[in-house]
Amino acid sequence: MKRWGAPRIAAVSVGLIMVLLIGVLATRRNAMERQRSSPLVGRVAPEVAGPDLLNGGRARLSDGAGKWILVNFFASWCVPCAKEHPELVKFAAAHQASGEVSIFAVVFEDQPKGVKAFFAKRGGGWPVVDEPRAAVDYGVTGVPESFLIAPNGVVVGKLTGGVRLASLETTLARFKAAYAAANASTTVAP
Amino acid sequence: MIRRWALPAVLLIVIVGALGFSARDIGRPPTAEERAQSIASRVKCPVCNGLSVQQSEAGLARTIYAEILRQVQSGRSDAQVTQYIVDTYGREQLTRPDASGIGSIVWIAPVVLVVLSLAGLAAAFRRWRPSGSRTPSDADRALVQRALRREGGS
Repeated sequence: MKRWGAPRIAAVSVGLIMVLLIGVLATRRNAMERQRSSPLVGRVAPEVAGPDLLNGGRARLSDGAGKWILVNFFASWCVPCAKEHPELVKFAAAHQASGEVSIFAVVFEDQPKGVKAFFAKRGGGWPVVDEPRAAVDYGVTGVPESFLIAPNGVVVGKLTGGVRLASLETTLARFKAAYAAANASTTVAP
Repeated sequence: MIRRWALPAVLLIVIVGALGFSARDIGRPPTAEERAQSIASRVKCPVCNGLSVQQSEAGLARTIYAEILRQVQSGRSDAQVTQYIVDTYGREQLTRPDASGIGSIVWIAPVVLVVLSLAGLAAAFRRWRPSGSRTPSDADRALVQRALRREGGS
């Protein structure tokens, strides 16, 4: 049997380590994938409570327990937020009669004055909470970002970027079907 | 005599003073701000390139730092606060790679590479050590003789 010299063993070992390192780097999720996913999916949604800039008083996310809730992080200075807003208004209107879906907005790095003007111009009457900590609790990296919460209070999906009514309805229908099938189990798979 | 010892004495006083001044914080528990800064230095700023939350002045980084500080002040341990960041932003948000699972390769690989390199160098040096006899052979002697003859002839 041919004897392997030290240099050959070293070269093979280094090569093996390089392959493993490349494997680790290649299998890591890229920035876009990380942005679309969230460690919160499948877990109980963190509570958000704070002053309601639109309706006065305090609003709590848990007040909507038992409904599907779209938690929408936005800012009045954000162009994609302004673009998605009419879609959210239509979405809220479409589900107003049934009362099974609601929107809960959270202000992201913005001033109350700008937020009030934003809603006065573009419509919408859902709770708008100013609680900076909520962005950290939800791992928000930018706006707009939305989280869909099932009636059992579990986060089922994260939507990055501006939403469109059609895709929002499709996503909701998909999660509703999965939720019904899972019969209110802890985790809802799409 | 006094002049001879003056300079070393002054130097000794300065050194002892400096050591005492720098060591005054040793043994003191870190403040909440120091702990928060330390944790924030291990968390990547989500909206910056190559900056930690501690280094960044971005609004979101400041909000994350405020939350870290709030949790530290409320009595949570460093590990609990770090876990909170992992639970919300994911493990990728930490500046240091995971030391368990497949991520541990990132920690182990450099050590293995250094050990292998040292082993390779040791093997190479051992091979380069002069081997064989130091006594001249007959061929060497003949070569020297020929050279000497040429020297003598010229």
